[in-house]
Amino acid sequence: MASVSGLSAPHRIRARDLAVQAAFMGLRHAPSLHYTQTAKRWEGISRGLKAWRGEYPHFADCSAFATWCLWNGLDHYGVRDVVNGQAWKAGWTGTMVQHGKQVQHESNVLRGDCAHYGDPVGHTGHVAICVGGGKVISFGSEAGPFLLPIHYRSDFQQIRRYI
Amino acid sequence: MRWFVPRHIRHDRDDSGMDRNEDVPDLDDDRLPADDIPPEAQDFLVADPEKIPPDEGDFDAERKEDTDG
Repeated sequence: MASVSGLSAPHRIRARDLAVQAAFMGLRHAPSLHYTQTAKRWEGISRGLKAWRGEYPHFADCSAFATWCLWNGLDHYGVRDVVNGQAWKAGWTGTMVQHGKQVQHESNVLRGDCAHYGDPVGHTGHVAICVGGGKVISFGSEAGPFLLPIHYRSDFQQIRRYI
Repeated sequence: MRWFVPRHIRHDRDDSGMDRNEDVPDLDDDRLPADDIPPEAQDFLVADPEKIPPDEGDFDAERKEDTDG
């Protein structure tokens, strides 16, 4: 599979590390991370918050959280918005499934890939970021983020790769 | 709280000039296998996913902006 991000293999590894670090940062700070679908959901990127500096957003939703995690890795190398195609200023599951590449076989899932659930362009769309070991970190409600098995939902649709 | 940073995260000082965040701190060099999570994180694994609140549906950006206060 050709690289979506255009990064070299060593830089992809580093980008995945940074994306997963961001996901775990959100998980660790779950009580301070609030679920919203308002414009505040994008503050992780708009405020330039980087997990490696110990920074994390206080507001996000599923797609904003997954995008922020990926941005931590991709912006590190100045990669354009290959996740939503919105110059890192917007996005949702509907744009995320229009970007990246689908991972055909689950045995090939890598850290930093994203698991999509439900109807991505309907009202049931959901996305979570893969962190290894067949697990995802999902931020789908105020109670999250949660560390869960990839198939924690029965309406799993696909894995997409952006790094 | 160092423990929650995956131990495989490290900074390659000899990266090309593309690396814009050169002051990313070095971390442990013992990379875990790619398909693994930090052992400490296992404590956070939800044992029964059916008991967590259902995920909110993701709406398009325009509808989201409409709800912005």
